Amino acid sequence: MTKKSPARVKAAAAAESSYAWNLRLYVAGRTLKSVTAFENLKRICEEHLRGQYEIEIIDLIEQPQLAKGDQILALPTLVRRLPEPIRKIIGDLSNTG
Amino acid sequence: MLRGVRSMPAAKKPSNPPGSGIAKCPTGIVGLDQITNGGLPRGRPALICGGAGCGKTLLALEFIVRGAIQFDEPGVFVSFEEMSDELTDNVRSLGFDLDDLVKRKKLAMDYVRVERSEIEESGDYDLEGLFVRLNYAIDLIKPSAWAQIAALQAQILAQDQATEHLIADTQANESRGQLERRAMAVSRKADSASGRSNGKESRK
Repeated sequence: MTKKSPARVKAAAAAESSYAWNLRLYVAGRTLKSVTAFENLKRICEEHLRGQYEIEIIDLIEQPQLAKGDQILALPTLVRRLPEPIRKIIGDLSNTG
Repeated sequence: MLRGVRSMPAAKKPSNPPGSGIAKCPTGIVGLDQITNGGLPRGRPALICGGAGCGKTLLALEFIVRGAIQFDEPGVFVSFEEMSDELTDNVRSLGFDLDDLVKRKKLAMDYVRVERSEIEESGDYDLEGLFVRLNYAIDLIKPSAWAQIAALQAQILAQDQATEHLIADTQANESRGQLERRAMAVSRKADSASGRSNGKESRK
C-alpha cells in the first residue's frame, strides 16, 4: 500500500503556496455548472477569506491527465489543499445555507 | 474493462457460431470461450457477478490481457478497489506483465478511489470527471488513430494549398468547389478514423 503521490502533492502545495488557503477548482469546459461554481467560490472567499486565499482552476478538457492526481470523479470539484487536511466538495457550491 | 472493438466484425466469422445470433468476442480463456459459445457478447457491456474471491477481477483482467496479446485489441482497465500497482504485482506470477503492456500502449489502467468521508456535496454536479478519465485512458492506447488523423489533416492542408494555387492560376470557381468537396470528403474520413479503436489500426 504505497501512496506516494498524494504526499508529494501535499508537500509541493505547502511549499508553493504563500496563502493560508489553497483552493483548486476542477471543471470541464465553460459550462453553466462550472461558471456557477467559480462565481459562488469567488463570492464565498471574498466574504470570508479576503486576502488569504488563492484559487487555481483546472479545466480537465484541456488537461485530462490531472484528474487522476486528486481522484476527480464528479464535476465541478473543489479541493481544499491548504489548510490540511485535504477536503473535497463536489457540486456548483450553490447550497451554502 | 473495455477492449478494442473491431470495426468489421463480419470479417471474423469463426467467433460467431451458427444459431447463436449474437456476435462474440473471444476472451482467450479456452474453457470460458467453449462454454459461452465463443466468448463475451461483442460490442455490449457485460456484467460479471459473484461472491468475494470468486475471480471477477481476474476474469476481467485476463480478458483484457489476452485481448492485448492474442487478438491485438488494446484495452482499458479501471479498478475501484485495487490500486494499479497492486494488481500488477498480483498477476505477475501468472505471467502477465502489465507494466510492459502499459509501456507498449496495449493497456491503460486507472484506479478510481471514492472516499466518502473526504467528500462533501453542495449543489449541482455530474460524473463528467469519470468520463474525462475514461477518454484519457482510451486515448493512451490508440495514439496511432490520432497519428492517422494528423496525416489526413496534413493532406487536407496540402489540398487547401493546392486549391489556392489553382484559384490563383485559373480563377476557375468550378474547380475550387470540386476541390473543396474533395477536402470535405477527406475530413469525413478523418472523423471516421477517430471513432475507431481497432487494435489493427492502432498497430500501424
